[in-house]
Amino acid sequence: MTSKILIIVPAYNEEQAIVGTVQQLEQFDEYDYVVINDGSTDRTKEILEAHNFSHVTLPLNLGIGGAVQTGFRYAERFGYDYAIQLDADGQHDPEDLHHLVAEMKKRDVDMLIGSRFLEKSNYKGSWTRRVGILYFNYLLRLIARVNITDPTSGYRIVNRRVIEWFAKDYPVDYPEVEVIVKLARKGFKVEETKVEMNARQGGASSITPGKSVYYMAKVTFFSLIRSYI
Amino acid sequence: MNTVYLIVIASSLFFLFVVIGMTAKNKLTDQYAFMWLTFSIIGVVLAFALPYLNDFARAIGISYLPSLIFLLAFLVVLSLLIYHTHLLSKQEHRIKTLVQDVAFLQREIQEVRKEDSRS
Repeated sequence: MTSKILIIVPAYNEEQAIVGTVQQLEQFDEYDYVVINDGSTDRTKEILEAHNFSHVTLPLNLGIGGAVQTGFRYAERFGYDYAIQLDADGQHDPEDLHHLVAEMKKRDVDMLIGSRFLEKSNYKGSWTRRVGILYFNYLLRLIARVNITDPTSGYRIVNRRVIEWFAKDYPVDYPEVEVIVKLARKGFKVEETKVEMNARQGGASSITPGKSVYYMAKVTFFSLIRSYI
Repeated sequence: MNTVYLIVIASSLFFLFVVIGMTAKNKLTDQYAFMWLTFSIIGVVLAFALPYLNDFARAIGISYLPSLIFLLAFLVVLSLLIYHTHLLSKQEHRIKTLVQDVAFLQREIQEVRKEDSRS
């Protein structure tokens, strides 16, 4: 029996990159995809409609957490076995999709994260991002007892159990690290595998130095409070 | 009876009338209206009981009454703030779910329309 696989593409003001990303995804017949247009203020909605791309348009901007959760609720509704999160800005290489799915089925884990750092890859991030990643790696080893080299990676695949869980409860902002802590502490199996990441095709990173301090503080705070109390 | 005493009673009564007025015009939903009515009645009672409060404050070792009132008022306001933030979080969560549901419905409507135009 073939499993139903959904690719969730959260998109906020991605008019430059969205067509390229989705056209790549449409080459994979075996996977369905859905673009979650998170209340974009640019022409993202018109572009999605004009190209007849599969999409859900949120009437208001919910932020990344609310947008991705919409994808999980969609996956839950339509009975998908696996859901893959893939960013619309072209950073995540669709070539890795087969690899993610194959590894996921082989290892039988609950969440598999695509990592840029397991082996040497072409990715070069800003130094603030790298410091943040090292910090989160340490935090996860300490609190969740898992060694994740790329905890902020948004390129990840989850199984049905996690889809159902995320459909009910998903953090509002900066969800990547927090969900790893939650899943690991609930006894779900979280592992990672090597993927390539490209430089973004358009738009700017949403994480400024000020925000990364907030990100680190927020995740630390909630991970500690929600894990131990 | 000194002037300050009169001002305190007048302002507490004014507050009570404002709350009653807003309740009558349905500007507050029932549970909040009831909460504020309770607060304003307590305010009026305290205003009339000011001289006795002075004695009470001295009895528990507070020589300056306003500091006791400020302390109590501060604690009440703080708990109200926490309560309101809790309500706000609940509302945000509900709105998020509604926004997602609306988005799903819009998609379904579009699909139905497309099928209609084809047949």
